[in-house]
Amino acid sequence: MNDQIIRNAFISLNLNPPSDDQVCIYKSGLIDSAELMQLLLEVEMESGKRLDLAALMEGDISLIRLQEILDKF
Amino acid sequence: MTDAIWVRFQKIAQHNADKVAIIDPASNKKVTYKELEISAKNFADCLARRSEGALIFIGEPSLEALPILLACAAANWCFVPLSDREPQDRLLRTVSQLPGPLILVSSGGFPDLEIINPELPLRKLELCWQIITGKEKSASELPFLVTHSSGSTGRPKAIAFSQKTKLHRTLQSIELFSVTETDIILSPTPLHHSLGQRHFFIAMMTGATLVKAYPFSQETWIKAVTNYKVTFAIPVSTHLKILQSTILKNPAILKSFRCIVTSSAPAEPEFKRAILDSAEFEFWEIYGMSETACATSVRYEKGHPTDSLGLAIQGTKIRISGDNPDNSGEIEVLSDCICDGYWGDPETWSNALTQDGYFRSGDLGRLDEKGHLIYLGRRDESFTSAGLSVFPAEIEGIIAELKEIIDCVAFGIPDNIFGNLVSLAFIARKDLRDQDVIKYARTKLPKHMWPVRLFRCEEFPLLSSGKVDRRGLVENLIKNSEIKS
Repeated sequence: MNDQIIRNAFISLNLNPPSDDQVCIYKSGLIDSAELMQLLLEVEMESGKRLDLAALMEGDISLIRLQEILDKF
Repeated sequence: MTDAIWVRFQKIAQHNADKVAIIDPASNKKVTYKELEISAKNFADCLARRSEGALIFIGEPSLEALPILLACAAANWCFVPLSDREPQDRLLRTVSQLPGPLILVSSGGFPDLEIINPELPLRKLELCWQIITGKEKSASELPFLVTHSSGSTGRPKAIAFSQKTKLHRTLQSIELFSVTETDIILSPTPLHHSLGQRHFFIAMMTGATLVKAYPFSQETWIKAVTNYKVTFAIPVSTHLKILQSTILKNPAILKSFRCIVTSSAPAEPEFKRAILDSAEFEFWEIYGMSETACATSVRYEKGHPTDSLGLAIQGTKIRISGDNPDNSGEIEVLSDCICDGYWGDPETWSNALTQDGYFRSGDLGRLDEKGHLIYLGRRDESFTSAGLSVFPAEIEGIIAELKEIIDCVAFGIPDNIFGNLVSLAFIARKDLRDQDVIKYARTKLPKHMWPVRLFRCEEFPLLSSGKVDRRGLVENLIKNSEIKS
């Protein structure tokens, strides 16, 4: 379910999710910082959960990490 | 002579003796110009026998107490109105910064101040009269009126006006909006706010009738307008926004109006268009501040752009400081209506002016190719996000284009990585989803102004002036936010 939330967030922004779910979507240049923040906002709105952005930004932001964070809620 | 206000008022009062000068819609009590003049003269006689020279009035004067403002003009006293919606210790701190000695008048009284028994006409007001000792002043040191700037822009400043300056500013408004003695002027704004004073003096200096409908509520505003057939008002844009849906559903509410002027904080273009389409009256917007009076004005026309605040008015020049590549910067104003400084604080006043006498407004804006002013928000409200400047007013203007939005405030939440997270608090109809707001923002705003934090609110806190208490709102949202920066 959380996987679908993340994929929907990409769709909302007209962006394609990376094929590698371990790659950092920001550092890889797939999306810029503004798009990243919007992606996280979409995830929040879709999931109804508020992410700890500061903690999130401390590491790579990959699909797998995002999903792990959502799974922990 | 410094009694310019009083001299003109007497002429007006004699010419309009039996005409209603002020109406209190709550009680439907009315006072004629003749009654107002007599009452003001009686109060002035009492004041003239005292030596303090300055009177602080805390709270909104009743209809019976309002003549005291004119009495101060007649007796060459200084009148300092203050809000009673502030904590007592903050009020006393403000009072303690004013040069004494002073008489303080309030409904409840203040601890540690000596209570005095004023002469009979003053005592009849049934207020608590107290005295604050301080260094003696000569009459020439006293302004006529001191207005404290609202807390929305930081530490309140005691803005001083002589009678001559106040009259000049009042005549500026009268001329600009063609106000005459036939006008019925609505004032839902307190007297301690410069707009409330403007309403009062515009009426008293023309012979018009003032409908003093304070405190503001949608119901009292509409009742006052319809019952007294109000023709002229200068509402703050927040009041208009609160009234918006009712007005748009029933534009006939406004049919008595000749002229509406919105001020204090620029209204959103979409809202202005809706108001323009709803009724037949002159619809103006002005830009200015207590220190400078009106700086620019624009009379909007149906079908024409509503996104600028117009051109500098006669006697005023505006310019934009700085050398930003997008031509934005602080709005600076040179005006022949400028106030007479900050009372008791010449250093702050000196710092507020450029070397060539322009007033630093603290507002950000830019001029279009025709010299029309585009407002971008308060300088201290703008912030950077990811190293780029964000102007809250620009975001708010776009978001307000959504018809389901009732009000919105953009602000920055401090963040270690981005500097600030662009955030948006909004009040909206229930059928507008958060997703709709953000999608619209993405289609209309540059990337660095896309909100990343949304706060849906039921209402915004308001200052007594009717403006949104942005500072209080933002502090509260940040405090209650679960965000860890």
